[in-house]
Amino acid sequence: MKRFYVMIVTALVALACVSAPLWAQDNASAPQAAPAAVEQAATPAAAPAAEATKAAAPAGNKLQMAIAKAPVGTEKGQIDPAKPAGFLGIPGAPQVNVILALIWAIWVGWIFSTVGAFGGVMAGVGHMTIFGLGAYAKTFKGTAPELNKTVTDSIRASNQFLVGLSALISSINYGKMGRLVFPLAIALGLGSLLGAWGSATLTAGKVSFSQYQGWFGLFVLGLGMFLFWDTSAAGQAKKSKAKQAAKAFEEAVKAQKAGSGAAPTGVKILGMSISKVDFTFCGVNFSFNPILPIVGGVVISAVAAFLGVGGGFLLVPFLTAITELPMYLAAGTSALAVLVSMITSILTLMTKGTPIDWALIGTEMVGIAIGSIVGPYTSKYLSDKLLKRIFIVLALYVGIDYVLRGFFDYKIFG
Amino acid sequence: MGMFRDFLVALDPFVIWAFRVSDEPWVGFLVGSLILNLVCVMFGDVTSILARRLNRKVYGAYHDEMVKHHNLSVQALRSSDKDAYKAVNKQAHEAFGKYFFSQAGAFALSIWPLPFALAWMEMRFGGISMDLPFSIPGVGTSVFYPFFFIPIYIATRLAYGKIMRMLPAYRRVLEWTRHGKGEEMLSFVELLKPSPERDADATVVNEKDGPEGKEKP
Repeated sequence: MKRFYVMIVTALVALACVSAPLWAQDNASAPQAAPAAVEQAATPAAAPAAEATKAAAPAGNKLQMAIAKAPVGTEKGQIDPAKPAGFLGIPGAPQVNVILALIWAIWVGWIFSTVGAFGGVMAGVGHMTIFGLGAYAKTFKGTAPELNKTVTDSIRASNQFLVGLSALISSINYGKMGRLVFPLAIALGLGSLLGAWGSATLTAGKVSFSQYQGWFGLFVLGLGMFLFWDTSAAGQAKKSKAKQAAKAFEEAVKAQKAGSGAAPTGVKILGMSISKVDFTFCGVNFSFNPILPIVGGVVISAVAAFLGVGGGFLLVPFLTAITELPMYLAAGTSALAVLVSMITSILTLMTKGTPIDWALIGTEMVGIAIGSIVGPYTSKYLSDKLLKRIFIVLALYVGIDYVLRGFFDYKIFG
Repeated sequence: MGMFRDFLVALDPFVIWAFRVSDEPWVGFLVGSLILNLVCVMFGDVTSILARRLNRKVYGAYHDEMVKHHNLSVQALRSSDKDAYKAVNKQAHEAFGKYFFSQAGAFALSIWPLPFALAWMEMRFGGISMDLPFSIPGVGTSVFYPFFFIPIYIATRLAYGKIMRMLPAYRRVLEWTRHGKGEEMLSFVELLKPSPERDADATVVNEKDGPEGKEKP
């Protein structure tokens, strides 16, 4: 029964997320009567081809207004209505090549299944650089800032869709397994909700592409530094030590030396205050700050929502490092928190009228799935260390390039 | 995505018929949405099943590693060994990460037709408002196609899963995709129960008397 409720709640949250365009519609446009509207669709007067050119721009009012405000012409930073519709149906916008989108998404999926967190970054790089959407948005920096920001928001929301998917499935799985600890998930979720909503509300329609690119680059640089430390001697030594300790314990259990002793059972609260809870669990002392999960949820979700990256890979280490939470508590609750954060962020962006190119999202989803399936078969030929080093180089390049382009308008290449 | 739009237009005759089954616009729209969603769910399910079967060994290895380390961490706590607990828990996290992303890929394959359906719906119904007989707070009386289409997708998916699982043939297909040794993750609640060695006799009683067991007098 609990599983059923979790499924229903998850489904409702997902529904709210994807139904967001409903709210995004500007009611200023004169609504038609429903039957008439549906009849119009059921017996189309126009040929589908003609309808197709109507543009794949959902919640188009904000976008259409932004397009209307842009100067008309054939120069950069101008809209040429004679040109074919491209991304989001904007005349003259880049036509994202389906094959390229698919191949890039396979690459993203492959990274997801081999290195994990870096997949979200690469999804962002695809939207911004590989498909040329960033450069296109940038051309409107001076001539049509509103269009620049609308396209930027669309890129952010698209990233969220791709990276948030894993949180959705993970939450469903944890719900099914009964491994969600709801009080903690609610605390973390509230923080996530607040962080994601605040971040999306404060930034929707306000962030220029250059600013977004700069901050994204800074984040990637940070991630690169972390990966670098992870593969350094110090990082490896720490890992190796943990591995050895885990192995030693496993051997001890096998040899019946540990794991079945008559340890004190139960939870004993030693002390509790607003900022600290001390307790023993099976005789082991634990302490955590109950405010930290909420604060962490706010900060991490705000960053994740702003950049359009997952956030799960930040939350899990945060929870285990700060609260020493066991794996299933940290992973399950952070998955739910990421899901809350993602949905809040997408919902907030879309209620602000952010358009989504569903065709592109669908193509990328297929690619990511293919990449995720191929990944495990190919990654065995590459060591974890080598893979991470490849990504360190990529992270440094992308990070530095984006920071320079975004904040200083300086291009290393191109 | 010009190429993709051409594809959508080519697909149009194969989809639009479902929306024309009735002269009553509302009925046509709802029946069409239901059929299109059912096709999405079925296509997604088939591809997801194939992917799970294809990657059964990989998923199983990830899953078993995750469960093994997690259960070891429970045992470490049981023996009050905090250092071992932290070390094993770290390993469990790494294993979880791999399993997490592998499952995300499989899930993406179950949902992939939906965005394409939405793109087609946008082409056909985008910008066409529908009046509701009542007002919904925050939405108003005028809505657009996702208001009906997405809930129908979720309802279809849930109903499809429930109905299909009643069919023995489908259950066999699911068994065909099962991964891992089937070992259960221990709950930390286990730690509040008496230890297995200390209460070996109680375990025997538990097996006889069901999961709750009975206290020996």
